[in-house]
Amino acid sequence: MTRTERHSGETNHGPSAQRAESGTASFGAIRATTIALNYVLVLGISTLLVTGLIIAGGTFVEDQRSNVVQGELNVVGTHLAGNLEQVDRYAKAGNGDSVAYINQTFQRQVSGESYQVELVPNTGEPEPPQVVLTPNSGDVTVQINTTVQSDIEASTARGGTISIYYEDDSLVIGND
Amino acid sequence: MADLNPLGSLRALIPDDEDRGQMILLAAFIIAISFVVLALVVNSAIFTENLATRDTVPASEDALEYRDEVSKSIGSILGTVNENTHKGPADAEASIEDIEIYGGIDQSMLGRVVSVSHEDTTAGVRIAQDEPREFTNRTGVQDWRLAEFVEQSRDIRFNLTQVDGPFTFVQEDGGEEWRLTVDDDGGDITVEVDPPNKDSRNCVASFTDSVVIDITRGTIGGQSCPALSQGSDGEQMWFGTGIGSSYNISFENGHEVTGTYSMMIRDDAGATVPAADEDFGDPPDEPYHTNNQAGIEAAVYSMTVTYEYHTPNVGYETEIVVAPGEVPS
Repeated sequence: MTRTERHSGETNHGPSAQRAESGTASFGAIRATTIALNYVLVLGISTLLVTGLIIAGGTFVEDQRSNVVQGELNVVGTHLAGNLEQVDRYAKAGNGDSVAYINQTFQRQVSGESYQVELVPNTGEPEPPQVVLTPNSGDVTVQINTTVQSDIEASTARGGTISIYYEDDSLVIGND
Repeated sequence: MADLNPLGSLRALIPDDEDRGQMILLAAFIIAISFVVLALVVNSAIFTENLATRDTVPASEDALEYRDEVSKSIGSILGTVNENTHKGPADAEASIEDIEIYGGIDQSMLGRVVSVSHEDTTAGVRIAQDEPREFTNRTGVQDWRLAEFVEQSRDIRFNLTQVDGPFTFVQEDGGEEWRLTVDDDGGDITVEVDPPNKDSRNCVASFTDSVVIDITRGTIGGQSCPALSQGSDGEQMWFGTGIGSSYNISFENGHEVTGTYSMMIRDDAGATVPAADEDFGDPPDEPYHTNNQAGIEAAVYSMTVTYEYHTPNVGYETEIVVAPGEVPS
């Protein structure tokens, strides 16, 4: 017989096994309490960690989404401001009544949100005329300043194919 | 009673304990959704970056570029017609039709519909001395008037081969008077512009054998002269800016300079220009001319064309008035 078997045999029939068999309840109660406490602690700490992870992850995703919406509106607005200035050049280079328009197709939604584009005339110095883009929800607003010589009519368009045209001596935005 | 078996902690993985690990599963599910949303957001951002690097609407710049080409082409046609006594407005109009046809073919290959059509012709008179001599009139009078009741003039050029003293070119409408004086400055020449309501300014240019003063382009010998394009306060203006719509054009001390000159006068608004066989002495007076070189010629002052440019995304229709060398009003 090997030494290990002997030791094993001693464990099964040794003093501790005898104590368990003797029916002393104190050891069992202590063990059960430890396991319950352990269980609660593990559950509590892991809940805390997982909740923290979810909150941090959710905030991160929301921040990224907000940044991306702002970035997208910025890009769309810059393109629209470029088109606005181009139509203004058309109108100013023309002689008398001119027909001038530029249509451009953008995405209907930015990061899953639809948006509005608004032309804001130069109501008072020093605010220049602006292209203002606002998503339907959220508090992100993007304003792009423009430099035009023609008058600007306060008008709005929604995402999609956006047309900037010259009508009655002023620049107007609308959907095609 | 709690299981004391060392394997007890692994029992959670055994199907008998189905309610264990639910929270971790839920958390994993929520985090997975977050990652999917993040992937969509990143995708959206990539699309935007792509959009940001795209050019402006295709062909939107070309609308103005082709307009400029058309304008320059017609300007050259007008120059040709005006320089050539055998050509008239009908030839210019025929050439505009050619621009419409051949230019339209070129543009249609790029997917654009472009139309250029003649709208109107404004008659003009070219007053010129094409043979170098003093700037006196036909009979040698040094102070004389070239045209009266002029509404518009353009392309005023002096090509001087000799400057002896102060020669003055005058535009006045009875109230306001613009004066341009060319004088010798010890080998150089000075050009002094004296506007009606501002201090005068001058430019000095080197003078060797000859020098061209292009008043409406604001250059002397090809070099920009600020006195011809800016007021004393730096504000942009041109010789004759703000003058009335009926003014007179005169030379003073025409005997002080030698060379050639030419200018174009609009001739449909009551302007009085000398007739070729008019009696001398009363203004407007006749410039010097020989039988081969007429001092006064009928010409085309300007042409108006309708320009239309269309692509799927861009539309532009306007009138172009072509009057080469006309100063902005």
